[in-house]
Amino acid sequence: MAVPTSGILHLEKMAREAKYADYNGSQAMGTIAMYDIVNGGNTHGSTLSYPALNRNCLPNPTGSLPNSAANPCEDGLDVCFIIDYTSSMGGVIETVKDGLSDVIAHINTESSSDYRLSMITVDENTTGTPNYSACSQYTGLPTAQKYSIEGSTNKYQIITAWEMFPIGSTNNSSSFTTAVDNLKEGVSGSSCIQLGSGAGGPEPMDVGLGLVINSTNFVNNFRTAAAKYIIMLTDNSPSGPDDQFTEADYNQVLVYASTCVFRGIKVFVLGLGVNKFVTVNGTARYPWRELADQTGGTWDTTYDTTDVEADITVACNGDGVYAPYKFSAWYGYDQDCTTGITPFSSAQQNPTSTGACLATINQTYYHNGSASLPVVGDECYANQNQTTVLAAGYYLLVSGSSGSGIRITSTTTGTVASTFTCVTRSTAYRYAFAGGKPVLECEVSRAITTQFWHDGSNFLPAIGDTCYTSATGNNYLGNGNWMIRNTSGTGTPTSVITITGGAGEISAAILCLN
Amino acid sequence: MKILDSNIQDYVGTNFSVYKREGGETIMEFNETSNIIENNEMYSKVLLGECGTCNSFYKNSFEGFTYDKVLIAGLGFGLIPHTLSEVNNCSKIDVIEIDQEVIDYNISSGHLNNNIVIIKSDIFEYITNEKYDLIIIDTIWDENEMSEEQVQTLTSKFLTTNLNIGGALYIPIKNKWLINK
Repeated sequence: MAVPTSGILHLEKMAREAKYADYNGSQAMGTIAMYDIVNGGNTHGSTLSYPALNRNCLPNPTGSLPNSAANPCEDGLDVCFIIDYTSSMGGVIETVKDGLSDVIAHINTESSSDYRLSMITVDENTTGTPNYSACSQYTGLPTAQKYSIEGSTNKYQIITAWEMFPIGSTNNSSSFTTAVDNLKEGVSGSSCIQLGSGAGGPEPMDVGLGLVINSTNFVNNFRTAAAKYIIMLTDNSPSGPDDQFTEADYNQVLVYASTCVFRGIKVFVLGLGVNKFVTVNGTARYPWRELADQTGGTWDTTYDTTDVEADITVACNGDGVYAPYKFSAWYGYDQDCTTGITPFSSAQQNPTSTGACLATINQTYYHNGSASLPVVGDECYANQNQTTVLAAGYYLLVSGSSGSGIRITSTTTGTVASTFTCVTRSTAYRYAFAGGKPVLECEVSRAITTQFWHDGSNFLPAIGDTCYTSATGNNYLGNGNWMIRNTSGTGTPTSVITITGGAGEISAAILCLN
Repeated sequence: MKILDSNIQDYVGTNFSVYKREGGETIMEFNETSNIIENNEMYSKVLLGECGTCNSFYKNSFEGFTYDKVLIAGLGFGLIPHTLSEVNNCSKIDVIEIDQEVIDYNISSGHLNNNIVIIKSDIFEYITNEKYDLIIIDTIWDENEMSEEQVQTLTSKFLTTNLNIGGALYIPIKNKWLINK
């Protein structure tokens, strides 16, 4: 089956479709790299190797974005930092502060001074009041930037957008730096802004990610043309709204990964959180690693800001290796693709057109042309999912007296090189045996009563025509001089033909004229 | 006339085979070319102008022409020499044949009369002082096989040197009939 033509796409299901043509199956897929699904193989981190197929399936609906590289950084760069703001992250935040100016300078360079920055923190508390609720930096924020919702286990997910992507301007390094410096009691002359609580171990970083990518006014939207990066710093697993890390959280992260891919957002995850896993169907699944891998980002256990710079460099300078593929190109993806592939009836491959004309049409093959039958230039396949091209040779498509077919010469592409039409054989009569000198034979009465066949256009075959001893098959009339007539009877021949070469072809002929 | 089939020995050789095929005719079949020489009643009649209904060239060519001493290029089964010996009672019948295997076969088979002399040579190279009334070039399978240059070679060789007055050089392909007057 194909993937749905609308709704949320699940990367794992798409991988199943690519690998097994079974979108809703339950096969274990392991780690999945979008690159491998698209291009085949498993060179880019997939556990399984994918077939290189479906290259000719049209996106459905058509007109969607190509699955090309993300927007290069030269057209602008929007970077959102999602920071795990719980107590265990204090040292990390100091590290980030120390290296921040270098990171911003790096972003400035890569984007040719066309960047926007945003930053949110994520923490969790047993009350809806964050530790920093009294700070003026917090109280002064618009309500839309202060997310504090009680989840399902009496834990509040507290997520705050301290710095939004500016609208109508760029290069907000100054306000961004201030926002970051204010973190972890960085506000001069006060204890603000205090680290948040962590409640249990897992942290709702995934909820924060969802706000960034799905809310239009939490950090504002990414710019359409700009490169879009999210840098997540966390030392723990995702929790969702319940402070617990379960398979459901892993699945939710994959959904966010799909959304990021769809929108061309690369996610980089730094910190020991990348080592957190949940066992799904007996397999350890690392949500943060897969999030990074699937979106074209990277992950690392350390927080060094030089790693952040390196990630941005690689992402901005990448040749497409890390470029995410847009999901819009995957709507309607179908391993056993029926979009753009047309079945047609054919005889089996035959090495000669003569043989093909005698073959029986009993096969179903596929081509990518627009007509019902393949024409010159179309590619032909033995199977619907286009993994096996038709071999070189002749294929009868239309049987009967005016039969016709296609010829494939390539051994690799299955491309129709030419067409052929079947010639109906005419009958004539010959003396049973080859005779002597042609001139003499014109004078000799023979029992010219043995039927034979030729592919010429006249009653009697001429030089260049091919003669057969049967109406079908490659049963060539042998070499020699043959006395022939149009009708069966005894007497002198109408003409004498000379066959040489062993393939029934007439090399010389004389008309017997008295 | 044809040779009595029962007098012809079957043969399987290097260049050709001789056998009676279905229908009773004896043939000499050459392996490389698939050419067939048939022990055929009509062959000598056609070539010697004795076929009343045949192409007028052959018949007209021999009308009023008499001969006794004959040189033939090309042996095969010896159908022409055989006819000249049996029917025309010619006093001198010399045959030039290039293929030693054909010569050996005919001698071994023993179906030709003793007054027929077989000489191994290439007709284009054969030189003799003998004089003939008729020289027949019977080496050619179809008229396109012999070029004008080859015809001229044969003409210059034989026309003045080896033909009696009134004798003829007969190349029964390309309608060549050259008489030494």
